[in-house]
Amino acid sequence: MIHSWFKKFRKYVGWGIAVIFLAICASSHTYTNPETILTDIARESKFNLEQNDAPKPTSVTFEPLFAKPLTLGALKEEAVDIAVRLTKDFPNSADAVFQVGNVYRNQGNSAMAVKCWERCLELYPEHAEAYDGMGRIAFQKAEYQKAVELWQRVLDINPKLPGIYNSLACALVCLGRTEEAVTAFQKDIEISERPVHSHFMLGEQYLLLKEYEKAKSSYEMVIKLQPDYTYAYYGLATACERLGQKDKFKDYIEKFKELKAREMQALKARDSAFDDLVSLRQSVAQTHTSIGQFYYVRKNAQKAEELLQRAAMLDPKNSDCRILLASLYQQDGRAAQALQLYEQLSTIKPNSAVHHVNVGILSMQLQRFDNAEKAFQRAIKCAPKQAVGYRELACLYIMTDRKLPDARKLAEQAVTLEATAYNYSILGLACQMNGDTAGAASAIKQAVELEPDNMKYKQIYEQIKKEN
Amino acid sequence: MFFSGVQKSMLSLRGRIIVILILLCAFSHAQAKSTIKLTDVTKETRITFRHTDGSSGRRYIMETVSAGLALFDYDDDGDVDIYFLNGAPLKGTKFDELPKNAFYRNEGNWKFTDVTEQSGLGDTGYGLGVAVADYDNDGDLDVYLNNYGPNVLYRNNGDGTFTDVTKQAGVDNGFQVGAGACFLDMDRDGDLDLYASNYLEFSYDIHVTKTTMGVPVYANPRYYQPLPDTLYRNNGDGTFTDVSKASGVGNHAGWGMGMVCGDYDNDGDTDIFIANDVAENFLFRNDGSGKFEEVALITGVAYDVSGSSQGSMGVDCGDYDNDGWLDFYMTSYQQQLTALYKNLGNGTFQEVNLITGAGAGTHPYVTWGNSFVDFDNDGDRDILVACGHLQDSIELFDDTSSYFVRNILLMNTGDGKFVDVSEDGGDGMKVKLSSRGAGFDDLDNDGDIDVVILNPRREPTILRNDSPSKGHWLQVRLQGVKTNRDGVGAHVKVVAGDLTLLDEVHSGRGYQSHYGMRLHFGLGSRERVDHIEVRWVGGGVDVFNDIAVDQLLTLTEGSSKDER
Repeated sequence: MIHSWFKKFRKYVGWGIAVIFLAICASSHTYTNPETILTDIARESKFNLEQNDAPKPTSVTFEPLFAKPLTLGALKEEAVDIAVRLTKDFPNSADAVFQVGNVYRNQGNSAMAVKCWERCLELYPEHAEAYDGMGRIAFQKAEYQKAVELWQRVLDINPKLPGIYNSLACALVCLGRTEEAVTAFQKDIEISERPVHSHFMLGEQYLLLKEYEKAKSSYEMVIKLQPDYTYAYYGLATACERLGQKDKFKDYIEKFKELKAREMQALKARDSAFDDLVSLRQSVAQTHTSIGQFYYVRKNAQKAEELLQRAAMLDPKNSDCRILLASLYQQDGRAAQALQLYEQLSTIKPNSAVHHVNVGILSMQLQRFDNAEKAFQRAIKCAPKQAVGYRELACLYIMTDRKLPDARKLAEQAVTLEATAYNYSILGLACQMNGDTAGAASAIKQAVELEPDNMKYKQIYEQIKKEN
Repeated sequence: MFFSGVQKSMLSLRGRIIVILILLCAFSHAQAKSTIKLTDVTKETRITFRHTDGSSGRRYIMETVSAGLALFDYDDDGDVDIYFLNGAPLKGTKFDELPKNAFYRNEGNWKFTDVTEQSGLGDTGYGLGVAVADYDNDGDLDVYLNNYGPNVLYRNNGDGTFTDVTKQAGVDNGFQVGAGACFLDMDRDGDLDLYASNYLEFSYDIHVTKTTMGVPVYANPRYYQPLPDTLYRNNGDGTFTDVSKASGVGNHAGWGMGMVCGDYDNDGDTDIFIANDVAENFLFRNDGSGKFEEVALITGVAYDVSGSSQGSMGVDCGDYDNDGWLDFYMTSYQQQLTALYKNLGNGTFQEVNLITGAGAGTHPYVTWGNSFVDFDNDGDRDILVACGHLQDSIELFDDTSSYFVRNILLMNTGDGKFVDVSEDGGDGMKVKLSSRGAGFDDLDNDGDIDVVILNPRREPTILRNDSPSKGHWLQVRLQGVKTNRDGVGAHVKVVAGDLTLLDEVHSGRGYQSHYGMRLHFGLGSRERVDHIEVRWVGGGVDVFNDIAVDQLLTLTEGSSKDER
C-alpha cells in the first residue's frame, strides 16, 4: 500500500520531494501534552544523571507480581511490595526510597512515610520532593514551624518548584505571620502558571489586614482565572460588605449561594459514588505508574511494562500509565498495541485533541486510513483552534491521494492557526498535489524562511523550483 | 463532620487547601506561662459512671456523636450536681442490664453520690443532648432529654425526684436522632419554650456502611437527609405546642448538632444559633414575638472565614473581648479550625480565629464541647475545648490524628488573643481520651470554674480548678418573678471599675450539654463591683449597686432599688 501510494505521490511531486516528504512524515512522532508524564520522564532522566552515582539494577525479578486477589488488604500489600522491590532493585537510589515513602503516605502511615523520606535524604540531601512530603505531614499535624522550615529547604534547593511558596505561605498564615504569608503568596503568583489559590489566600489575608480594596482585587483575579471558584464570591461579598457596598454584597452572596448549592450536590454525588475498593485501586494504579515510570527511565522496559499494564488493569481511567505504556510500545515497534492504548485514552479524555491525533497517526502507520480520518476529525472538533488536527488530516489526504482540495484547505487552516515551518511545508505539498506550483513554492519558501537551517525544506524548495 | 474519604484529603494538599489553609490556624505556639491549672480529680469523686454507646460494631452514626451532660443544682442545696447521658442498646447489641443515664448529687468537697434511682432520672433512652430549666416556673429545675428515639421531659417534683411528663407536655418529638436542646423564652411571655435540634434522618433500613482503605468507618452525615428542628411553645399550663413551621425555624433543614440561644443583637429577645454539621450553620434572629428569620449567611456565621462549611459540633456564647456583645465559639472536625465569631456590634460577625489564636492546636483534632470560661478570674474569658476523634479506627488510615487525644486549653491574654497553654495547664490537661460533651461550673463553691467532660465508652473526666493566682470573682444567680424563674435569656452586665463584663443565662449550650446557670464573672484585682445591671427577657431592667466581690449573689427580679 505504501509503495503504490508512493508511486502516485511521486507522480505529483517528483522523486525528490516525495522522498523528503516521506522523511518528514516518518519523523513525525505521536504528540503529548507538555504536562504529561513524559515530561516528568525527561525531568527524571536529567535528575538521575545529576546524581553522583547513577544506580544500576542489581537484579531483575520476573516472577509474577500480581497473583493476589483484588481485595483491599491485598492491594495495600501489593503497593508496598512493589515499592520495596524497587528499593531492592535499586538499593542506593534515593528516588526508590522516596517512592516507598509515597506508598506509606497514601496508606495513611505518615510515620513510616517520614522515615522513608529521611532515609531518602540521607542518600540524597537535595531531594526536594522528600522535604515537601515531610512538610505536608508536619502541616497536617499542625507543626507549622516545622512545615515552614521544611518548605524553606525545598525552596533553597529549587526555588521554582510549583506550589511550594503557596504551601509555605499557608503555614505562615497558621503561625499568624500574615505579612510574611502575603509575600510568599505574591511570590507564588509570580512564578506559577495559574495561581488561583494564592490569589484567593491573598484576598483572605488582605481581609484580615482590613485592606478591603486589595482583598476585592485579589478575589476578582480569582474569578477571572476561574469563574466558578465558589469561595471567591464569599470573599468578595465579605469585602463589599466591609466597604459598605450593599448591592454588590447581595449579588456576590447570591452567586455564592448558587455555587455552594451545586457544590453540595456534587459532594453528595461523590459520596454516593465513593467505592473504597475503586478508590484504592486508583491509588495503587498510580503507585504502579510511578514505579513503572521509574523502571522505564532506567531502561528496564520489561519491568516497566508489567507494572504499567497492571496499573491499566487496576484503573480503567488512569491515563498516565497508558501514555507511558503507549510510548513504550511505540519504541518497541508495537504500533497496534500503542494504538489500542491511545484509543482508550481518547475514550477516557474525549476532549483531548492530543489523544485523537495520536490515534490518527498510529492508524496511518497501520494503514487504517478510515480510522485515521475519523480520529483527526475528532481532534479538529475537540480543538478547532489548534493546527495539529487540520495538518495531520491534510497529511492523510495527501498520502492517500484523496480529497486533495480538502487537503489544501486543511493545510491552509493549519497555517492560519499556527504559522510554523512544518505547517507551511505541508501546505506546500498540498498545493503541489493540487497542481498549484506557485502556491507550493510560496509555502515552502515560508518554511525555509522560518527554519533556515532545516535542510529538508531547502531541498523541497529547490526540487519544486527545479521541477517547475 | 467527618469523611469516609480521608485518604483523598491526604493525597492532595492543593485539592483541600481551601479548607485546610483557612481552617488551620494556630496563631501562636509560644507557650505562654499558664495562670490556669486544672487537676484531674475523677477518682476522688467516686463517680463510677462509664458511658456506653450501645454499639455492636455496625457503626450506627449516633454511637460516635454521643453525648452531652448537664450540670445543675437539682435540689437547690447550693451545690451543682452532675447528670451524665448514656447510650442504649442499638440493633445487634444486647445488655444484661439496660444502661441508664446517671445522676450524681454533689455532697460537697468533691464527693458525689449516685442518686440515679432515687431521682428517677435513670432514663434508658439513647441520650444525646440535654437542657435544664424550670419550664413550669415552680421553683425547681426540670430536665429535657433529646434522644435517639423519643425525647423525654422530666419534671422536678421538688423533693429530689423527677417524673416523666413527656406525654402530657407533648414534647416527645417523634422518633428522631436528637442533638442539642435549649429552653428559651422566645415570645417573652414569661415561660420557657423549648427548642430541640434534630441531627438527621435515620433508620436501620437506611444505615450506611463504609470503609476507608479497607477500615470500617462511620459514614458521614451527608449520607442521610438533614431535618428541620423542632420548636415548642410553652402554653403555660404544662403543655407545649409545636410551632416549628409557624415560627419559621421549621422551614430550614440542617444536620443540627450543638446549639445555644443568646441575644446576639442586644435587642431584648433571644436568638438561636445552630451548629450544623457539614453544612451552613443557622442563626435564627428573633423578631421579639417568637418568629424567626434565618440570617447566618448575611451575618457571617454560616461558614468559616473562607466560606467553607465545617463539621460543626458544639457552640457556646460569651463576650470574649468584653466589648458588650456576645460572641460565638464553635467546634468542628479534623483538619478544620474551630471558629470564633466576633460580634461586630452591627448585626454581623467576623470569624477571627486567624488573628486571635482561638483555634490554636485544634487543627489535627475533632473538637466537641467548649465554653468561654474565665478560669483564672482575671477578667477575660478563656476557652477549653474537648477533643477526640469520632473514628475509633482513625490511626489505621490516618495516623496524623488519633482517637484518644488530650483536650485543649486556650488562655485569653486580655487583648483579644489566645494562647495554647494545654501543656502547662495542670495534669487535668494531660488526660487523653475521646471527649464529647463538657460542662463548666463551680463544683466546690470556691469561686472558680471546674470542668466535667463526658468520654464515650469510658469514665468521665472531672477537673478541679486549682489555678494559683486567682483574681476576685462574683457569681450571680437570677430569680425571675414576672419573667421565667431562672432568668434564662436575661443579660447581666457587671461593672467593676474599668471592667465591664456581660453574660447571659443559657439553658442548653456547648456540645449538646447544659451548665453555667450560675453566671460567673472573674474580676481580677478589682475589689468592688460598682453595679450589676440585669435585663430580664420580657421584663424590665434591675440595677444593683455597690456589690461585694467573692460571693454568690441571688438577684431577684424587681428587687433592686433602681428598677427600670
